[in-house]
Amino acid sequence: MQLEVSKKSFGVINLFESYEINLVKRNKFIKVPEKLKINRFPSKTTSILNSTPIKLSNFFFDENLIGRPLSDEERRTAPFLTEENYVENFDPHHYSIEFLYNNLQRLCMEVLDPVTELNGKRPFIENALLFRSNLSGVDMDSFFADQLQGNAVVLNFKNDEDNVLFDRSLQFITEFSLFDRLLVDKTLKKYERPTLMISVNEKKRGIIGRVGRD
Amino acid sequence: MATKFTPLTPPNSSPGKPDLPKEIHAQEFPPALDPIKPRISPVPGITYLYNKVTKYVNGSKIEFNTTPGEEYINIQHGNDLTRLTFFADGNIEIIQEEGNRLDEINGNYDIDVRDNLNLNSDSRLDNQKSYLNKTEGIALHNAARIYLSAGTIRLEGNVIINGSLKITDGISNDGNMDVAGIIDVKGNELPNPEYAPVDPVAAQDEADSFEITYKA
Repeated sequence: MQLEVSKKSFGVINLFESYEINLVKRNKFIKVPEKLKINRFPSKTTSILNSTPIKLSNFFFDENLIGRPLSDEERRTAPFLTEENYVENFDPHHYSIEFLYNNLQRLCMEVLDPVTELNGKRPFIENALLFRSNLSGVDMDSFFADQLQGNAVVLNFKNDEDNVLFDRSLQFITEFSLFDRLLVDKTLKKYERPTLMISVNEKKRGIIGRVGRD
Repeated sequence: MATKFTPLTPPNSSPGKPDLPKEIHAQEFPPALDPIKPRISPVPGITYLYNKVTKYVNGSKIEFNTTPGEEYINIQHGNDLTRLTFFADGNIEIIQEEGNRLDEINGNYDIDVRDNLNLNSDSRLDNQKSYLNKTEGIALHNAARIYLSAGTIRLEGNVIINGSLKITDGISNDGNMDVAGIIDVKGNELPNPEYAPVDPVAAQDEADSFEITYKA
């Protein structure tokens, strides 16, 4: 990165007019602070919607990113509260709750918490973890696969005049987050606002793309 | 050796017109501070010679009673409607049986009450440019109805509502919302449909359909 430097910027120092710095990007994910490490995963919990929220990061709880019951890992079933308040069973999520929670926590550390801190407000999360009880037909190198693993989030900002928060977040994630895919959806066809789709996984490829919809 | 003064004994009333002023508390005369009786102190006793009264034609009087243990200072209007009295036990009474009262102050007005302050009135109106009410313990407002009217009403701290809450305009929430009961939605959808219960049959998510143009 080449930075132009005004002589006045350095007062009496006028030996150089420009200099080059190398911004070294991290290659290791942000470490989860001790206080946020999850000691008790809700594997025995019948439904996350009926239990105490688990704090994943400074600004997010599991219920912010998980919109439906997952499973009881041992029983391999998860009760579901229907409109008539009957409890029914259905097949659990393909991935274990511990795997999903760890991934969601990493997503919070890399993307959601910094973006929230940067903007002073939480983004509107269109969706994060998606549900599949089996992976048949799923392209495992896709954004959808990351969504199923708790590695991805789709977010935008309400009341974001001139897309200030959106642009600031996009720039920050591009520069400082360790992501695999960063997809920008400005089509306004599925989501009402310009939307960022970010995935964080071990591949860390930093792929940036623009979403097109019919 | 100091001379010790003792009060004289008031003579008994005799047939005919009383020849003593009523303030000396002679027999068949009304008690002290009559007809505006004391409100918070007992009726003082009066012993002749210890009570000095200056009384005017219309009945107004200034009274210094130094009867041991029963001392009081009294200023009373002849209309028997108002009096100001300083009692031996430290009490002060300003009594207006009729009429209004005005305290007009150009500077500050401080009221320092070490114990309880009780205000009783039919109605109360406060007019001020700014108002600050600080309470160390619990502040309790008990009324049939309470109206708060302001451009912005801000509540700092947790709010517990023991009853129903009706909001006639929009509601927004930057934090979490815990609902122990049922959310009954009369409109089209929940603010975030992802939080709504999902039909187990339709629980399988499908991949979003879009094309990606990768940045070179």
